[in-house]
Amino acid sequence: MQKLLMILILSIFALGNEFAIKPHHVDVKLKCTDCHKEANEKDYKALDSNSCLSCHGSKEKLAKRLDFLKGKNPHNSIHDNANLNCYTCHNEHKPSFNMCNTCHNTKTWMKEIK
Amino acid sequence: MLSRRNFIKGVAGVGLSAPLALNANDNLGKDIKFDEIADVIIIGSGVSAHICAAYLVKNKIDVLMIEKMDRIGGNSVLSQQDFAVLNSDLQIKAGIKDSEELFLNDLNKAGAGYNHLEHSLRIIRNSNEAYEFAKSCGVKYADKLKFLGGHSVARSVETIGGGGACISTLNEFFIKHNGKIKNETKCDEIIQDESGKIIGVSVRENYRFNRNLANDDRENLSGDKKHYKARLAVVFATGGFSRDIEFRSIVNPRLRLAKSPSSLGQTAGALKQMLKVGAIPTQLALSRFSFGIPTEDLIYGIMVDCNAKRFLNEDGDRQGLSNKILAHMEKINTTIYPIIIFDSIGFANSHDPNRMQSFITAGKMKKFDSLSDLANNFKLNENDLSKTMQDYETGISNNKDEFKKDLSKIKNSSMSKAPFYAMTAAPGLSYTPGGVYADINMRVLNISNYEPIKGLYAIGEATGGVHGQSRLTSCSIPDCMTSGIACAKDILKGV
Ligand SMILES: Cc1cc2nc3c(=O)[nH]c(=O)nc-3n(C[C@H](O)[C@H](O)[C@H](O)COP(=O)(O)OP(=O)(O)OC[C@H]3O[C@@H](n4cnc5c(N)ncnc54)[C@H](O)[C@@H]3O)c2cc1C
Repeated sequence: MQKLLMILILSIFALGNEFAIKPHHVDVKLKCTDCHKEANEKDYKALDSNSCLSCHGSKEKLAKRLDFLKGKNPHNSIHDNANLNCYTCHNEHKPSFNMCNTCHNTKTWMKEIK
Repeated sequence: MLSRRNFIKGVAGVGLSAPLALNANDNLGKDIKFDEIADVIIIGSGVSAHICAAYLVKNKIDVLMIEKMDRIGGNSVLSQQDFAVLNSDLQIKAGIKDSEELFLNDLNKAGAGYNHLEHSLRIIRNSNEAYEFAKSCGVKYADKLKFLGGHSVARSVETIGGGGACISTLNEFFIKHNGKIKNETKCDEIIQDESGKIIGVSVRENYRFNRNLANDDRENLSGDKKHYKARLAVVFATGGFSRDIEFRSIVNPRLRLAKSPSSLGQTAGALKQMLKVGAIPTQLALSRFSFGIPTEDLIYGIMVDCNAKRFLNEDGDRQGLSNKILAHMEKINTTIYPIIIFDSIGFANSHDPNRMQSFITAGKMKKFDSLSDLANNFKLNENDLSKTMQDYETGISNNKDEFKKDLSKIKNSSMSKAPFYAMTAAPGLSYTPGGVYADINMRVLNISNYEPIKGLYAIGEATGGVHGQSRLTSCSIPDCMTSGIACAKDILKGV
């Protein structure tokens, strides 16, 4: 718990609230440097999908996990298959954005996205 | 399925130190060092881009396609891709008598004389060739014809899997024939040589669209600037601008409050690039709305504004109704869309009750056991709503509607039998008929002399003046596909 707090405090104070880490990533003790490989903080860049997939596996695997949603699987949709980048919807340092919601009412089949 | 491997991608990142001089006049090609070279560069990755590209690579032309978004396929992957075709195999099999005159008549009726006839004929005469070409690339169509509104016979084919399946199939074909595609690469400027010929484009690779900006085209500075050279031609297959609130409010203030179901990247940036090199802006004020519910059913219900008051005759087409709704919202100074309400009798009168039921399953329409639930849900004043409903029923019993609705057409619908059904009635701008003017070979014409701008083509929704006042249902796809092929053939002529 203490360690957890430390990480939280460190990550918040290191870069300010603007770069707070999402709770599920805090739970697994992720630090800034686990994702951002640049030596210097001020060189940190937005990540590409491969960085996410280095922990989360492949897009195909992620799509499979939501197979039960059938035609409404956001990770394998009839519009885009499994081709979108993670960051099209998921954000780490700000609220995520459900792109499906721009046309569909997703409340009936999807939880709020993390 | 599209494969990520096929996308040439550089290192990700939005890192940016020196501000990009996006508007600098660097379009004189002489001293430019080019980072990429291809026979043809196609901007955009929707159905018009992919059909044109497929036709070119099949003829051994070296094509580079670029797309500014993460998503490949723009509005084309959101589309059902119903596709009107003259004398398709399916029409012949079903023994349907169709003709050039009949189809033209339908297009002219919708276009109300604003449509350029040579383009209407381009669509009609080449629709079957385009359909057969799409099939030859692997696109699949259902074994049935659709008889859609505004068409005088059944002539629309149905794309199996819709736009998503169509684009991934065409993309596979394109890649298999050595086509190259880069997504998250934005075209910023068209490059000309001293003679005015188009010789390439300046782009930003590793560009990330930012939906939070009021105007991504002007404000987003992400990515790394590069120059691409095109040996033969640059093709703008850049779609419409239905998501560009700023721009569409200038070309037609009525469009300001419209909702849009379009892909997030449908902005006017590419159109402006073409205008800069002399293209002719054509019919930019026009609009095409979708409604989320078949408009022919609205007559069985009432539409109320945020004050729970009726304001129009619910009997109308989507274009007319959408215009009235947006005008009314401006008038009462609100951004809240009106609500369409049916009681159980009106609901049951719908021409396709199964479809209505599917709206409820999808969460688009809601069912309410009581009026107060409905009022609460939509934040309407219950007393005012109740009065509006009573007034409507009084009108029915006196056979005189406040908004002159023809009550003989409402099949005894009422406004008092629970349960009630209601949904937001938001005019959705899904298509912008305006764009640049091109000849039937899709060469973009120059505003100063009406001659083709050498090396520049525009296809699909990016062009204007093709459909006129109102685009007939299922006629964008034949437009996109026939223009893509016409453009490819014209490029091949010069080889
Ligand atoms: C929900 C919906 C349903 C529809 N259903 C039908 C139907 O059933 N039948 C029918 O005929 N029509 C339908 N339409 C309309 C039709 O699908 C579209 O008009 C058509 O797909 C447009 O294709 P396009 O290739 O011209 O453009 P798009 O498919 O929109 O592609 C344009 C692409 O260009 C990219 N781009 C723009 N600017 C740049 C730049 N500067 N640099 C790089 N890339 C850029 C965009 O991001 C986009 O991906 C529908 C539309 C919608 C929204």
